[in-house]
Amino acid sequence: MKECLNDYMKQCSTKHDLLEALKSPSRTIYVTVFQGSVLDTIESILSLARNSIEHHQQPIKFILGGSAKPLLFPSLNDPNSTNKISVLLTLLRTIHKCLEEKEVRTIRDIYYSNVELYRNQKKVDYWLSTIVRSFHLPSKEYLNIVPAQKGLCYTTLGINVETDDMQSAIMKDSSVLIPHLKQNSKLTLVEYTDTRLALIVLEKEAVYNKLVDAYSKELQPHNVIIVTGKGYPDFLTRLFLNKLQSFASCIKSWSIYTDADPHGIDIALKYMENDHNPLYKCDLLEYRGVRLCQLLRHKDVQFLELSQRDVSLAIKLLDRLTDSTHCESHLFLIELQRQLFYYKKAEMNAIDKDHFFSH
Amino acid sequence: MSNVFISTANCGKAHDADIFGLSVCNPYTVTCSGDGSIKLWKNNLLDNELPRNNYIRQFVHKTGVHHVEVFHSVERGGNELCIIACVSFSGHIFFYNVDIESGDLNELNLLSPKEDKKSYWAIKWYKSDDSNICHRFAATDVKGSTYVWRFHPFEEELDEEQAQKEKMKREAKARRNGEYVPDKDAEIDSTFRSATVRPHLMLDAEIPAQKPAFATCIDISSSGLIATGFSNGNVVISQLRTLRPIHNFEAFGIQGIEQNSNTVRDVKFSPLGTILAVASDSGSYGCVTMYETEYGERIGSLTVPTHSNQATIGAFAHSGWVFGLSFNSTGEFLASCGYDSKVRVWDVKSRERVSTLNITASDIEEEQEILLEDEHGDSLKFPPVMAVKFINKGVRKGMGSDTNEGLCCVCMDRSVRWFREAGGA
Repeated sequence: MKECLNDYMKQCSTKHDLLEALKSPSRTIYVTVFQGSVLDTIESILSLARNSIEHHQQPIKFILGGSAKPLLFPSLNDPNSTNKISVLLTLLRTIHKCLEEKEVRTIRDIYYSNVELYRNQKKVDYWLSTIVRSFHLPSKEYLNIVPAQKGLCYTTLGINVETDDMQSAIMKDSSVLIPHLKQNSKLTLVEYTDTRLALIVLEKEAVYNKLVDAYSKELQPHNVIIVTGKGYPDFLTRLFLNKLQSFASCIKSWSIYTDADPHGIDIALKYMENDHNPLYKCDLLEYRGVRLCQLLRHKDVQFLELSQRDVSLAIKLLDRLTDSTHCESHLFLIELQRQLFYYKKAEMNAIDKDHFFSH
Repeated sequence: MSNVFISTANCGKAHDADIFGLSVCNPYTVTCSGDGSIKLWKNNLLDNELPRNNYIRQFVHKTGVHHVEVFHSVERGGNELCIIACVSFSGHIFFYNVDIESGDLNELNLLSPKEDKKSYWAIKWYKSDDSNICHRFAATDVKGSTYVWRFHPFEEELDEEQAQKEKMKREAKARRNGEYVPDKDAEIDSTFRSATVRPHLMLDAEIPAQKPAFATCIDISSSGLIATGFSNGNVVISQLRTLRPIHNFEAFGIQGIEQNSNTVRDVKFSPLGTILAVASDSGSYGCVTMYETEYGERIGSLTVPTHSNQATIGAFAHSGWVFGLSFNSTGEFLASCGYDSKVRVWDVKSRERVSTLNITASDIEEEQEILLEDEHGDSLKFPPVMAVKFINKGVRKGMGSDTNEGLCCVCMDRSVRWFREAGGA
C-alpha cells in the first residue's frame, strides 16, 4: 500500500523535509556532458527534455556548467525558472538549426527573432555565454553565433581574409564593417608596394568619417588603414587588429587616438592590453592622444567638467596602471593625473584632421 | 609702482613627474608630485649649497600626490611640531611627522578607518594663534563635502567651548571689578609642560555639498571662516565654529559657449580674513575675483589690460587657467600663477598688477636639469606654473631675505624656483 500524508508527516520532522518528500522525482539533464559533437550533444539534450515533458510528464532539472544554479521545471520557488528554461531550450534549438544548416547568425538577429521571450539582448548574450561555458567551448563562434559587427574599417589597400578555406575580401577605398573572423583566420594585403603604410585607430565614428572623407577626396601621400571600434571596441575589432599585427608586418606606424577623458584612456587600454586572451590585444599600438595639453594650445576648444563617474573611473585606472607592466603605462599615468588635476575633459572632434596624419 | 623679483635659487628635474603641489613652512619648502613622492627642500641654505643636494625625499603613494600642506608650530612647553599632510590620487590622506633636528619622517595615522575610506581631494591646516581655539584640519572630497577636524597636539584635549566660556567669565568678572585679571595662559602653559605629545584629530563635522560637484579647493581664514571652491564654479563660505554656510558665490552659469567652464581652481583668504580671492576658469583663460567676506560683496576682478573692448566677460588675469593664489603676510599683495607660464603679483588695494614673472624652461641654472619637452613630446619651453607661494621675511636665508619677502613656484618642467623681492636691503 502506498504511503499516505499521515505517514509522510510522521517521517518528516520539518516542513522543508516534508516538501522535499512530496516532490515527484525529477529527471536530471546534464548540459555539461559533452557527447561527440556540439550538434549531437544538443540533440540529445533536446530529446531528453522532450521525452520527460511530453511522454513521462516528469519534472526536469538542468545542471549547467560553471557557477550557474540548476534549473527546475516546473519550479515552485523560482517564478523566473520557466522563462529561463524556455530561453535555454529555444537557444539550444536555434544553435542546433544554425549548426545543422551551417548558417552563421548574430546575437542581435537571434534576439529579434523572439523579443517577447528574450526581453533584452543582454539576456541572449548571458545565456549563450552560459552554454559556451557548459560545453567548455573557447568562444561563441563554435556555436555559429557571432556578435554583430560594430567596428568599421577603411583601407587604401585591399585585404584578403581566409577563414577555414573560405575567402572574403575587404575592398580598397571603401568603408566597411570589419568582416567576421575566427581565431585561425589569415589576412593578406594585396597590391602592397614598398610605400609607407600607417594604421590609425580612432575612438569616434564621427572623426573616422571625417578622415575617410578626406582620404577619398584627395590622394594622400601614403597608404593607410583606418579602424574605429565606435567607443569601447568589440572582440572582432580587437581580433582584426591582432591579425593585422601578426600578418601585416609592413605596417610601419600604429597609432591610436581617443577622447581626452578617462574613458578614452580606458578604451585605448582595451585595445592595447588583455591579460585574459592575448588574441584580443594589439601591443604595437601607440597612444598619441588626444591629450589635454594638445587641446589647450587651441583656444577655441570646449572643456567639460569631469563627472563623478569619470573621476571614479580615473582613480580606478590610476590604481590599476601603477601595477601594470605595460611599457607605456607611465604615459597614461601622467595623462590621467593631469585630467584629474585639471578636472577637465575634452573631445577628440575638436582637433584638426591633419593632426592624425602627422605621424 | 612695480615690485621686482629676482631669482635666488632653482632646481630643474626636481621630481620625475609633474609637480602638483607646494607648501612652505619655516624649515622646508615642500613639493609633491605625480611620481608618488614628496620632497622637503631645506630653506636655510648656505652660500655654496644647492637645493639639489639639500632635500629629504619621502615616497607616499604609487598613484601620485597632488596636494601637500604643512603644519609647523611651536606649541606650549616649547614643543616644536611639523606635520605634513598630503593627498594621493587614490584619495587617501597621508600624514608625516617631521623631526626637524634629524630630518626623519614618521608616518602618522590620524584618521579613523571609517574616515580613511573617503576619496579626499584638497586639504588645509589652520594654525590657531589663540590659545583658547583649537587648530583645525579640513579636507574636501570628490563628491563635494567638506570635513573639518580639530587638531590636538597633546594627549589632553583642549575643550574649545569650555575655554571660551571661562574666558568670557573672566572678562565679565574683570569688568565688574574694574580690575585687570591676568590671562590664565601662563597657568595652562605649566600644566601642558608635562603633557605628552600625541598629535591626533577629532572629526568636528561635515559640510555637505549643496549640489554634487568636485570640491576642488579649500581655505580657512584667521577670522574663523572656511571657503570651499567647486568645479561647477560655486564657492561656499561657512562659519568655522558652526560650519553653517553664510555666503554662496554662484558662477555665471552660462553654458554652451567657450567661456562656460568656470571651474574654481583656488580660493585664498587674506591674512586678516577680510578678503577672499577666487581663481576660476573662463574657457581656457583664467580669472581672479575678490570678495569681501563680511557681507559677501564682490570687490572686483584682477585684470590685465587688453586691446579689445569687446571682451565683456573676458576680465582675464592670465591667458591660461589660474592654478594658484597666495597672499603675502601683510595682505597687501596677491600672487597668482597659471597655465600661461606666468606668475603675477597684484596690489590688492588698487587691484593693479605690480609684477610679472615670465617663466621659461631655460631659466634653470644647471643645463642638464633643463627639461624642454615631456614624455609625450609636448614642448615645455614655457612651462605652466602649477603653484605659487609667498615666503615670509627671514624664512629663506641668504642675502636680503631678512628684509624682503620671497616667492616660490613649481612648474610643469618639474622645476622648483625661488625668488626674492629686489632692493630695500
